[in-house]
Amino acid sequence: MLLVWIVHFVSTSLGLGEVLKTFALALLTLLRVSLLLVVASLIWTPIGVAIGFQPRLARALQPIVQFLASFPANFVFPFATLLFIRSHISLDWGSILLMALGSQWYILFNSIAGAQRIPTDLREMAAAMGLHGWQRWRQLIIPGIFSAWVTGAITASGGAWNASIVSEIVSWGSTTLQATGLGSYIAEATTQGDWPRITLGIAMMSLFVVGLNRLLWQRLYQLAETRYHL
Amino acid sequence: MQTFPTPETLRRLPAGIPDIALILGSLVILGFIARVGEGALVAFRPPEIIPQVVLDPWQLPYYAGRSTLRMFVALFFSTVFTLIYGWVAAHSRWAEKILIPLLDILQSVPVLGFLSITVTGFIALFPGSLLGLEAASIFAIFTSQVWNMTFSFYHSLRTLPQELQEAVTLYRLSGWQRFTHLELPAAMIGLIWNAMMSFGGGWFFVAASEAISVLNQEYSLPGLGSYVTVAIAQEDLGALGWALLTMAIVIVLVDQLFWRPLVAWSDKFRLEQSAAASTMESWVYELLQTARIPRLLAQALRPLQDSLDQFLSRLTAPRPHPPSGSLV
Repeated sequence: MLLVWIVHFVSTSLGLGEVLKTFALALLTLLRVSLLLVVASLIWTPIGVAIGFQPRLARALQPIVQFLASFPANFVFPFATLLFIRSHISLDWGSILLMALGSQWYILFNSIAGAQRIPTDLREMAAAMGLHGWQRWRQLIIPGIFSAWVTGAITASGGAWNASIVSEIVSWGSTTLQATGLGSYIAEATTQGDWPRITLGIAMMSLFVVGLNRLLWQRLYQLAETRYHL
Repeated sequence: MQTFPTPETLRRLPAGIPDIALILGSLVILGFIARVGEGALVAFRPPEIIPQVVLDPWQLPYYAGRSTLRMFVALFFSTVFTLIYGWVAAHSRWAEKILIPLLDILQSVPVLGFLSITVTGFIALFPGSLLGLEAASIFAIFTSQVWNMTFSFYHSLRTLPQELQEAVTLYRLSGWQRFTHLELPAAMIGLIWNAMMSFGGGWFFVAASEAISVLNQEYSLPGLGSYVTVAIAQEDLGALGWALLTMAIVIVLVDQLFWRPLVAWSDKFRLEQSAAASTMESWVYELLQTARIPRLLAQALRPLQDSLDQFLSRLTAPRPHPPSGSLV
């Protein structure tokens, strides 16, 4: 019903060309989100597991991690913007960093929570069996934190899509940097009060996120429930 | 010769240093909330009466208070929504088929994208009052916090340990007892972690939603976010620095006074036999534990709580013949 209305509203006021254009823009933003997820997972999952496993390290680092996770990324945006302006970094790449500033913590937090949720008994058994290195990751850690990681990655990807609206267009005083992507498209339409474009942009973004959920995250979730259930 | 009053009498007085600290602390927080909350009820009639944000650093504590209050109001609504939505989704196969895909779609709609729509709507809902903008901002924070919490709660309910579920069925606990004795405790650690996380994420949206431009009109709500927006527009690095510092202090305060005690408390819900490897320490939690007032209050409220428990248990009595196998 709503979908029909959206399609009707958009097609009568904007045309198919605009839809294809936003689709291409969404692909660009998707590329940014995927790159962010891969890099953030490679960096933060091992760190999160290390923190979750070692009580002393966890106690020392937890306040810092919590602080970093709570700090609103958009308070740091102006400084990053200044940096981009000074060093002539294109926001097409810079926006990935801006999006990551807010969303990477979901992966770190959930890795810590997942690692802490692995029963101490299991960890002691793994140690007694002499598991270490990659074996320990494959047999104990990845199965143990998998469902937590999926939850984290879903939310991080959702957060990154959301953040793209404020990350792909940033300003400092009268200087405005803009990246090509769906986020800046929506931000521009909002400022202008262009309802058909706002609707199209939001619908396209929702479509991408829902599509990803169906094609990727849902399957991983099922895997977590059936195979890696602790 | 005995002293008067006797030492035992003194010791039995329900107030010690922890209690005095607790009372003073509560009074300070209540006073601050009252002072800050007033500001949300002022008139708002664009374009003549619009709240102004000034870059005076001394105003920052007030702005921080406004933003923080918004965060907590949103957290309250998020928690209520999470418990209801997550529980219903996990308990009804039929509802799950609708609620979870709906949750997927809802959480995938970019909050910041439809701010323009919600702002217009909420202003129309509270004409002539700043509450409209306030509600739009709180709604934005709510939508940013709630999905993550709901997913976490739902997932915890779906992955409850089988043997505990069987025990609950065996003891014929009522639906309410099942909720308070198994489901909520089992989900507690994940829920609090996700709430803390979402709360952290919420700062991002409070900052983004306090100052927005819709239809080429600038709306700004007094708060840390709008302060930063003004500082960016005026290229004022000094003011930005002050805002960063204030934000840092607020986060540390909220962490020390709210999240840390909660996490320390939730450690008792760990589902494992061996002793917990690490526990969070919190001076506020210890203060609450040592102080007598909370315990006295709990004792005084116990009959009320018990009768509420019984009432809700009777409402949700277990079915006479639990269908086998459908509880998973």
